[in-house]
Amino acid sequence: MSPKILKFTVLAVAVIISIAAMVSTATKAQGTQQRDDRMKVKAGDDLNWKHPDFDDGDWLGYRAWQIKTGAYRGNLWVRQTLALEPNSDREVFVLAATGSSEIYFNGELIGRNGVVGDDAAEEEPGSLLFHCTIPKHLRQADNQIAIRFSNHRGVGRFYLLGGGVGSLPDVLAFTRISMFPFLFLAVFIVIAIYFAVLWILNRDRPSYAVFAAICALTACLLFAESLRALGYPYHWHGYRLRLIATLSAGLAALLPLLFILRHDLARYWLLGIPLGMAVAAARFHRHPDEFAFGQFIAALLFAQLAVCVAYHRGKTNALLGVIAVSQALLILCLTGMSFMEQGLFVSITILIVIILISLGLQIRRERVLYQETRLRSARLQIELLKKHLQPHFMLNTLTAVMEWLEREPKTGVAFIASLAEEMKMLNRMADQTLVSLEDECLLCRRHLDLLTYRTGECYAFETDYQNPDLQIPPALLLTLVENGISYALDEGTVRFELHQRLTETRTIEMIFRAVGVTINTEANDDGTGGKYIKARLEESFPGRWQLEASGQDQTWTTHITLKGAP
Amino acid sequence: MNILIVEDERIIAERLARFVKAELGTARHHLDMVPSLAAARARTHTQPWSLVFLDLNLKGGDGFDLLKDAVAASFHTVVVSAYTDRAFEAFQYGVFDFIGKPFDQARIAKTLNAFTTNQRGQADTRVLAVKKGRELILVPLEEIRFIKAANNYSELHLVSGAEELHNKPLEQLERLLPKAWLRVHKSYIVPKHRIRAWQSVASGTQVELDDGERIPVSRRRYLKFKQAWLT
Repeated sequence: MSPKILKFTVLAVAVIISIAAMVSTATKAQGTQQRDDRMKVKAGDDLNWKHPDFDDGDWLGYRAWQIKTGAYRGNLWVRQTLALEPNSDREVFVLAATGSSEIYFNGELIGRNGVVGDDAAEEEPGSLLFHCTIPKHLRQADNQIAIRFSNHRGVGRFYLLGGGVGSLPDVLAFTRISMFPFLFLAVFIVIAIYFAVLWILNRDRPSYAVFAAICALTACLLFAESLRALGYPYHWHGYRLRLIATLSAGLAALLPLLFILRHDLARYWLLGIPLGMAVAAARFHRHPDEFAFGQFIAALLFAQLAVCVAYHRGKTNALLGVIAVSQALLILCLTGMSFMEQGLFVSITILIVIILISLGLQIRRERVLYQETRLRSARLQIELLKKHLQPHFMLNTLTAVMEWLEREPKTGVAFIASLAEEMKMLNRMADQTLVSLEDECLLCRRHLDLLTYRTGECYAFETDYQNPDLQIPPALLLTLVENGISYALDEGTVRFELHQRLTETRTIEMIFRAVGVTINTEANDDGTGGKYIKARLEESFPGRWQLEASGQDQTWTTHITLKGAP
Repeated sequence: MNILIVEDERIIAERLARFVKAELGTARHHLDMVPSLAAARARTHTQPWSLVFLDLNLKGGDGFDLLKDAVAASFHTVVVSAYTDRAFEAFQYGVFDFIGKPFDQARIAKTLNAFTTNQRGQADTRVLAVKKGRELILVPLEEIRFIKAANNYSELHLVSGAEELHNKPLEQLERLLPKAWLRVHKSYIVPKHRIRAWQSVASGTQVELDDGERIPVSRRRYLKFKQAWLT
């Protein structure tokens, strides 16, 4: 598959998953209504409501009642019929609700959760989770369950989170499974600590801090969600939900932030985070669970947009990001509104593992890059020094020195002094990665002086620069001078010109001309000299330089542009 | 004698010229200096050079291209280069001598002496560069059966049956060939290892090559040949 088709396919799949997630969110919002309607609710308190033959025809369904009532504090009853097969082993009644309760089975009291009272003082808060057994003699084919509640300490709405009968092994198995998420807790905490330490050691990598925070928040969220399995006084439930909503909002802000930082997207992308959160809060706000869900879907959709853009721009490891976010959206699609209970931790765990892989790859790549940079730096330094040790330069110079000493000893001595000057200068510059433009020009002049002793030619070196202190890689111009000399015409001398300007946009322009040379496009373009210049520019101005060279009318022009100059 | 100095650095060219003049003294010679082989080529047609001092930057790839170009010509080439480590390679192409930089007068004197007294060069020739139209081809010595004079040129008779024309006259080529290449006749050079037998016939002596080819041996060179053959 060609890379272009692969890219298109990945982006198309990502978009389809995102749209599907949005559609499923809109449609599944009312999904649980039918089941909830079998539970009838009435506010108030009357012990007659426990009787199986009481007519609750005018009571509202649970969901309808909850929507109509909103936040509630006081007494209420819930009634539901239950069919049991003959000799059924479903003998445990399970209840999860935010209130103290008394459970009546076919009119008989079978359990008390706390003490139901008429006001907060009289009431003793029951646990969110409650189990009791149904005596065998009460069980019939058709049964009536009636529960008397009071929630005088309730925060927000009254929640009937679950209720039913099951066999003892079923209930125990369910309890065990609900403890399972605790296993992950330690994993997330360790990853969070690891990346927090990495960030402290590499402060220039904010994405490590964000990832550490994501792992820490996930651990907190996991803990808060799992608390339910442990049980607690019912009135803590409201606070717990608010805590979960807050943690979710935090995660929702951090997920897209991570991808924006990882893939170097522009700053204005950050504005999308509060925007997405606000839109989600406006649409999903009726209760904390819904709010958290809304925050997640907004975060995932925005993160998806960010990674898709990054992937489209060919950012490294962006594909892993697309996969990570897509799987979370896909799980969200499949689970709908119950995402928070059923899908959240699976998808976040997968997401974190994928991000972990991609961060691992990044760390490895950076290490390789660092090694390469160090090697290249050392190699360039050697290359610079070698310029004057290579036989062509050294031995030709020595031959000329011999000639001058035999012919005119005084000139010979001056020649040697000049050679020493250039050697000293070059040696000093070789230790640096940047030198001033003024020094570089001086080096070029020294070199040309030296050549004059050898060839007998006079070389003009004209400069016109604005910033003598401009920092450029060493031997940048010297290399251009050497190139110019080696392509000198058979007859006549070479003249060099340097023009340097600093434009308003902090861009440096250097135009270097060698006049009086043979134009040979192939040779001049990328000889060893050209490679040296490019490697040096990349070393000091990574990705911020441009080099154009062209020749015409015995003039070779090199145009160097450096962006973002200090 | 016409001598050409190809050197782009004027001071070094002047140094060479100074030494050449000092050595040849009042002897009849013509000396010229050019900065490049291209410039030399422009003049080669009018002046048949006998010896060319060629400055080569042998480090780059085109240094050897220029060298092949030079050794294919009718004149003898003396390479003057800073890259003394490439001397061995240069000799294999059939240069007459190789002078490393920096050099003194004694070194130039030695080369000129060897040249003017018709000695063999320092060459360790393995291949001969032959100009074929605009192209240069390299002929390894082991592919040559024998060499025959053809006016001012030499015909290389190859194992493949083909013939190539070298720009050097036979007596100049002889100076670059290994000692085991015997000048059996004014017009023939034969590699010793190809001679299977030699016999006397009515017209004189003949050698028979391993492929059956018969080459005459001149009376004047007979004794020298016999000596070389027997050693």
